[in-house]
Amino acid sequence: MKRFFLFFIAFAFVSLVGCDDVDYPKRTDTEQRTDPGSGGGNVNTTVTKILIEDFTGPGCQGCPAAAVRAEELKGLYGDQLVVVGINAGYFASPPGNPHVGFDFSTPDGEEYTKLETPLTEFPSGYVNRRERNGSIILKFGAWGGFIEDFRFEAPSMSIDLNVSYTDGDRKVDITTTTTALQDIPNATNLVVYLVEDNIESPQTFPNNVTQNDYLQRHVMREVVTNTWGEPLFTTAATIGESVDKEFNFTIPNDWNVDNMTVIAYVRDTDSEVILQVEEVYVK
Amino acid sequence: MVLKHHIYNYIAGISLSLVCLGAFGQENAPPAPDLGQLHGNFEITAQYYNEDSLIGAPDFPERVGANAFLNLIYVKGNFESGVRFESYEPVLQGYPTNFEGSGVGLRYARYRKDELDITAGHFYEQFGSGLILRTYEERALGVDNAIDGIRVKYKPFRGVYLTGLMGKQRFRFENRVQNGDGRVRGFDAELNINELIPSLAESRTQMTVGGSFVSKFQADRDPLLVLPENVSSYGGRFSLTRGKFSFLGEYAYKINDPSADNNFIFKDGQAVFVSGSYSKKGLGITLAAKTIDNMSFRSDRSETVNNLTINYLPALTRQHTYNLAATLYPYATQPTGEVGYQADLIYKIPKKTYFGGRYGTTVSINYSGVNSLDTTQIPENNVSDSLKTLQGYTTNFFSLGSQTFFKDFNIEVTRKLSKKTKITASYVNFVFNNDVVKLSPNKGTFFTDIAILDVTYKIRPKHTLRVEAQHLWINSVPTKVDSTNLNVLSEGELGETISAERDNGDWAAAIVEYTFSPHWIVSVIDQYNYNNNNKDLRIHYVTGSVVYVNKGTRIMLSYGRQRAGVFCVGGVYRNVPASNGLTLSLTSSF
Repeated sequence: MKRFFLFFIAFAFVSLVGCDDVDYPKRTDTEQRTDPGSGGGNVNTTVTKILIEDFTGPGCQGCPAAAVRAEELKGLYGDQLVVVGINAGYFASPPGNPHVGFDFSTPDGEEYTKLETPLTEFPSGYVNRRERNGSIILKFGAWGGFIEDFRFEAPSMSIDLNVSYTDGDRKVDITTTTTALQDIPNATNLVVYLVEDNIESPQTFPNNVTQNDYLQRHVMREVVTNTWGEPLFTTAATIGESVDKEFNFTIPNDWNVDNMTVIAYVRDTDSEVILQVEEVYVK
Repeated sequence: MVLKHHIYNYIAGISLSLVCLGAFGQENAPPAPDLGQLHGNFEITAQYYNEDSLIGAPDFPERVGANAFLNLIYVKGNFESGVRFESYEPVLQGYPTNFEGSGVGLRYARYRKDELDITAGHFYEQFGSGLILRTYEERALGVDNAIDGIRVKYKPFRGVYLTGLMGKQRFRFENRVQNGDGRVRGFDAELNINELIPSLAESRTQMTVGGSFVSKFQADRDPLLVLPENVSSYGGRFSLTRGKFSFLGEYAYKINDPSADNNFIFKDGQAVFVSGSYSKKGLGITLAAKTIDNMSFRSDRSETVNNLTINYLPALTRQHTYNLAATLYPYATQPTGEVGYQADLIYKIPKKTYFGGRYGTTVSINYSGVNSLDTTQIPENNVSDSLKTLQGYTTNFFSLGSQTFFKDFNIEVTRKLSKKTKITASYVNFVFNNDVVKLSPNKGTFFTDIAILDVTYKIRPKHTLRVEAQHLWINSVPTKVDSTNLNVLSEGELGETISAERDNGDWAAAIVEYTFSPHWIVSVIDQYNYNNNNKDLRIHYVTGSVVYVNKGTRIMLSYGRQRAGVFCVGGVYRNVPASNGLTLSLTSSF
């Protein structure tokens, strides 16, 4: 009996030591983060880039906090991180979005919410559609730590993305050259988004307060390919194989071309993981 | 060899129970004494969905959803083992969507001998009132935060109860249960003073004291913040009962725990809960109060809603049962900060008196209120905080803040008029700050009055008719905010006024229920939103249902419209989308 009592005392002690008081919470070594390090003798400077798909909506009170976190991470990782805000789900359309005339949802965006189990909790995001704890759905507080888990991985694809725009007819021409940097066992598709940044629109904040001049960041406006992309390599790809693609799209008059970018990414059609992503300004 | 024997018992038991289910309510043949006992229960709810664009019931391509559960518990001597099969093929609408497929959702083995009690696998545990640890299953809401690990309970002396545990928490279900990221370690000690000191065994004063400690570990990979990997919390509690009086007090503290709930600030958290009551025959009085500051506690700091909660912050408001009062505006605890209080009185006016009538009359009066906590935001231009300490705000701990979150005054009178007739009349008044609790997309604070009349009439032995009539009136007031920092202002302060809406307007509801004991209950409920601001939505939500009960089996078949709403159990709430269709549910225990 005495032994068991000692066991409990020991157990309590072990529990008690588990206590981390943090005095200076901000990291100071953040400047180093944009350099992913040497590629181990590989002269190709391409890195595995990261795409955060931030599911949001003008009626979502908690979503601005997620957008702030995405920008903080963008400041840290620079071009290695690409952020897209996808308006979808309950808070993107009425009645969850009470701001009439500011519904940025798209049928494609709604499809993306159903990629795993349908998203019902917002804000949530996908980070390269990789799984953490068996799920690709990550709350924003987990994005940064999760990126740290794989951002040094050698890239399996490179995307050479070129965009040209003509003012007169508002036509954007997109060409891509996608090259396998490793053998890839599964079929891959290329998906292209048109994104508009800093759209001034009303946003609901905590306490149900509306800010009318809120700037919505990186809003996905259009999927130029079809929802799940154009086939790149229909079965597998061997190292060095390369595919060219061309797309064009006429930008509607009410979209601000100066704030628009094109995002192109490669998705593994079997695992759904995003293997590589690039982003280029339209103008 | 022994294990093999148990497995055979399991397989035999599963086959047997499935046969039983087919025949509703048959009982197992008594097992041979040396084989132990197998018992359990089964539950299935299946719904066929129709699209109904008027009420916003979405198209459901699979047409039918079903949630099913089979619990099997095997007991032999000191040994107990259990398993739960779960099936979501596909999950019912409105349930958390991270439930999918079929498989084992829970399994455990437990061994009890003398003063020792060991559990390996999944278990549910609560320390005190749950301020720092409570794991539980609330199936109706899809809440299940069971710990998967080891728990040891031990009684070293009479009156001393020790519990230690460690493990990971259940997070989601996809053909099998998947655990969350963090680890939970906990220890609790409870001393029953009257058992501990023999001379007090017969004392009129009964006392217990308890203390607990819970720590969670989650690795820090965050590139922006230095996050605490080990977050600890501790609490103490005291209960005293003397004759008709009883008192309960509990305090909990948590160190810095930046999370999505508190927007990653490094402030500590506290909670206090006190309750006193007096009861004697025909009279009960309870007074209770609580303060909560930054006490959301999860084993994954990035999670939200009901996921991976370690603790439970009890709602100090009445749980209503009548339809409109229970489902339209239920309050949910705000874990980031609130001050709540409640007074409850039940009095039975004696029978054969002027006011009591021939059979007596029961009056219950309840009042509760929840306010914001008195806090002061640290300005963003405070460089010391925004760059270094990240405390976010300071708290005047026991003080009421200016913002009302919720108030509820209700009175209920129940009186038996004759041997055949009993009536209950209720009045409920809510003040509901929707800007904070966010049950509806509309803005403002809603003021509602609800009147309810419930009449039960015994037609003849075994035949009972019950009729309920309810009405809800609603008004709302605008919210005022400071346009520079968007903080909500109290009355009298100058700021931008945000228009308020009467939410969905007034409601009427009626229920007719016929019970033919002991097997049948037939009922029809109609909720009529006759005063909705949108004339197209002034519609009837009618549902008819038939229930058949026989021994341990209950079958319900219902058809009708269910409005979008909020389903609330024990202070946890979840939005349920509108639906239209046929529902079949079956529960059976064996």
